Amino acid sequence: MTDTPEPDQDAIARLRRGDAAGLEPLVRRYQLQALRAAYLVLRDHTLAQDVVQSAFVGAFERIHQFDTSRPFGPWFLKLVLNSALKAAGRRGRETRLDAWPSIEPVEPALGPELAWERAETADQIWAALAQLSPVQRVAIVQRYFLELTEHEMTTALGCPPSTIKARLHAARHRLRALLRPTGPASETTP
Amino acid sequence: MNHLLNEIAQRSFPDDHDEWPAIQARLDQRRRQLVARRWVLSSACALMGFVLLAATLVVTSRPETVSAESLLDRAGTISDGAATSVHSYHVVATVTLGLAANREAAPIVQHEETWFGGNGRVRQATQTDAWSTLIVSDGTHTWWQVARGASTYVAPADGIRLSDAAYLNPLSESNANIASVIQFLTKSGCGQYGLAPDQTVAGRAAYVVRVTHTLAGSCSNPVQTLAQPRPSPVAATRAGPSKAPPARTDGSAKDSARVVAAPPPSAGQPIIEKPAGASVEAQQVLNSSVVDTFWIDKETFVPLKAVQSLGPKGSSTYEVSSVEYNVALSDSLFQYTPPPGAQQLADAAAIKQRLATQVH
Repeated sequence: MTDTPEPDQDAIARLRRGDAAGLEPLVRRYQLQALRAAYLVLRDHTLAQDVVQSAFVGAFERIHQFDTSRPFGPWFLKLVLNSALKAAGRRGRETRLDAWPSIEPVEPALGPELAWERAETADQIWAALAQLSPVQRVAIVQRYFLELTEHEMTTALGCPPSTIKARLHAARHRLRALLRPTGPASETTP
Repeated sequence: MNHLLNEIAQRSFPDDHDEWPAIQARLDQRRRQLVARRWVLSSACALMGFVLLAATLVVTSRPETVSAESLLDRAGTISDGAATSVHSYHVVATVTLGLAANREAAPIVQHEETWFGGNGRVRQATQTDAWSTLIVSDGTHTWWQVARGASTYVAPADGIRLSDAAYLNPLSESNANIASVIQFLTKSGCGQYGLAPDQTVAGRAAYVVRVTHTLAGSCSNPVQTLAQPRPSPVAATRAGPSKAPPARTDGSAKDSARVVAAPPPSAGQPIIEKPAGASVEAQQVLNSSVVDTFWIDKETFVPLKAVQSLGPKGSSTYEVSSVEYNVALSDSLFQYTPPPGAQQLADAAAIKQRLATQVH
């Protein structure tokens, strides 16, 4: 006999009645996704935990603002990413690149376009992400980690589609530049 | 790209990571904060309520600020039979008139008993050794009765107030009606009012009000005579009740008769009549200051005692010997039936005329 996880709607109904224990199934279900998304944006383990914990407590306190006809996950992740952006702004400055592993250049034989798709190590991506602005990191996280469509990103951030497109384009362009292979093969000969 | 991002994320937060205990702790902390905030708010509200209550108690426990002038005004209104917070009362008083010109004679004493039944219902009986009067009003109709010797005169006196009664009665040696005296002082606008420490009269706590004024009674026109032709009292009566008090006289029958021929003085007229061709000394008397003192019930504002100075002519003292408030008064007190043998006259002026004739 296995315990059937409590559906989101039941847990939300408990929260709306003021029962804080209703938060537990929602935490179990969304905590990892939320923590990891926040971490990718903030690049700070402790700060990501703080943002996610606050977002869950805030969701409980503002549960009456939640439209129960819609799924909980996207609404909650929107809270988390918005909080992460604010936290990044408060932090004032980004974590310096030298605090993280240095970029290991990808194979010099690859062209810059392929380098983006062919980055082989997580460390390379991680180091390259550090060079992006928080807004650009949020766009990358939404698109490639949470796998949202551009339409869903538009809805989640409340931005016009053109803004989302521009952010994604700028983030991709920046990452390609950062992951561009260096060395003789990439140098142009006059 | 996706799998690399997932790899980074998984490295930081492995699949077995559990944030629930930390979130629970935050919820508990938040709950405690809310409880503390509610407690602080409740305490602040309670403190504010306490402060407001204390402030209210301090303000309401202070005695009402009163001015001597307003006290006298209220006393005058009540003594004239106006509605008050006391729906009925019964008062027995004595007026003693000491005339300086006749020091060897016993003072003239007038006994007065008044019942106020509310809604304009009044009965006032006055009596001296020489005459008696009775005013009865059922709230609609008023009767005035005067008995002197073997004669009793009765007339309707609708619209006449107690403060008018003094001038109606030419037999009165002086202005013995407390209502008319207060009316005169509060309307003359020339006195200096002051409060003295409270005293007790007839078992009642009383404000003590002192009024310093001239016998002329008016700052703007201190010396006036009543010798000029004026409308008759009949006309004044028909025109409605006069709130003006009678002139004070010097007590002689001659002067009293002369007052009958004149209407009650209004504010600004002298309280002692200046005889025709009055000397400079007489004018000085009229302009000299005198002090009247009034004792006014602190609870009901009913005048309980008054000592009036008539200057060189003497003094008059009104004093309540007994007063009862909110007593049950029989309706029969405010109904009037003429006594057998009474001569019924047309109006109050006719009685005055008859009395004046008798005097002469």
